[in-house]
Amino acid sequence: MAQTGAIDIICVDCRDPEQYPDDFVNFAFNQIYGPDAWLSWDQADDMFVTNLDHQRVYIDSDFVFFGVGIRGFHLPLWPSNLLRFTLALPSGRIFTALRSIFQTSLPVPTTGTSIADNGDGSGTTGSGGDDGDEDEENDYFDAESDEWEEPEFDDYEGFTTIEDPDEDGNFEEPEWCEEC
Amino acid sequence: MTKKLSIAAVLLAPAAYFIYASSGAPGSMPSEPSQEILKPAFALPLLTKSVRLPETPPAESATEIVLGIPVRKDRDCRVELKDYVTPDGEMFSAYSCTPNKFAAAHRYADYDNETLSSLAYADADAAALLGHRLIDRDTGRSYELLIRASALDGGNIEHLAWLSDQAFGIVAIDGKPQLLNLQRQYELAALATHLGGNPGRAAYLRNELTENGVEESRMNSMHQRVNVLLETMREIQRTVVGAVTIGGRDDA
Repeated sequence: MAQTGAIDIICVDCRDPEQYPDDFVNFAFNQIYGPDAWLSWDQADDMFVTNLDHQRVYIDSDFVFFGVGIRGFHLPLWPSNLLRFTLALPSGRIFTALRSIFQTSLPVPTTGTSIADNGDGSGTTGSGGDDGDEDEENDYFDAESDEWEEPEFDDYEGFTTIEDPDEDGNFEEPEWCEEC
Repeated sequence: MTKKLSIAAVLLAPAAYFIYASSGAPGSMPSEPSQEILKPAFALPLLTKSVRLPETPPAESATEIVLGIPVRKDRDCRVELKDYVTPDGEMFSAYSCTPNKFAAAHRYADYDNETLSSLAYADADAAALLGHRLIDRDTGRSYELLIRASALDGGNIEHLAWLSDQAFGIVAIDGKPQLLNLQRQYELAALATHLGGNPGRAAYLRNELTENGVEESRMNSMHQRVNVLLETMREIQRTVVGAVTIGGRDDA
């Protein structure tokens, strides 16, 4: 990761990078793509993003290609439309995140994905790590489970059903619930 | 023989572009490329359908120097360099680019979750917005809503990409791969491929998974899940819209 020429950019809405690294990823993405983009490509290759608590995160961004590898030499052939962000936190922790190339802004602060402080650096709340020991009622988010459950798609309740009228063309009187 | 020629043609076409681009085309490749990761300047959109294509990387003429740094000419914000004071009383300087105008609010921004939940039955925007709101509190429900939004939106893969990024975006912590997130990303990428998305993304994620020791049986399990999701999306379309317009094969 080169740091030559990396500038410092303020992110007012970014929270603690140890818990919310996605804030910094989304913010960095917005500097490169979307309606708020302003950095040149060379400048966007790496940058520092600092929040108002002066927590300074180094961010390196790369476009990801799928390619073929022959004896250690990789020939990039196919763009994946993904950006890879590598974050170096003040504590020395390194996070790697992927983002799809959109033309829309990503939310900062993010609405999800805080990093659970479980001591070994693994696991993210809401999405889980690769330990598979954190969850919960939903096996769908269990990494180690070979069995998987089909995600549930709830039926919508409370919607109007079609009822036929009686012989006289009248509909049945609805029963009103006093407590409802 | 014909098959071999076809494969060769498929492989050589992007390779030819690669050679062309690396020989001095605008946004050419850096001199020492890392393995499969290159700078954003080398973006080449292929086979994207629902997601809008990435912008063409701006050439040097599309940038200008402002406050000592190169920035895009087509930006819609004001570049500033300000001083800030930390809680400890230290002062530091940092750049920012203040937008010239506020982003328009979502048309359902004032709706509460219950109302959105009702609308989400047939309204892709409502389903997507509620899916965004719930992603930290109820990832499963958010997942369901964004799949639904995609189905109602004619198989728009932007909803899948958003879900993939915001719910499963962290793929490694301190060099340790987050396999669960990679798996979920792969499923959504494979699903997006069925809907006309870029196959390179799924191929890259599949490669990451196999390199990290994910076995074929688990890959098959993921493909099975993709098929179920695809069929679910078709069913949603069939039920709500009355006709299935999203395509795809069942061989993820």
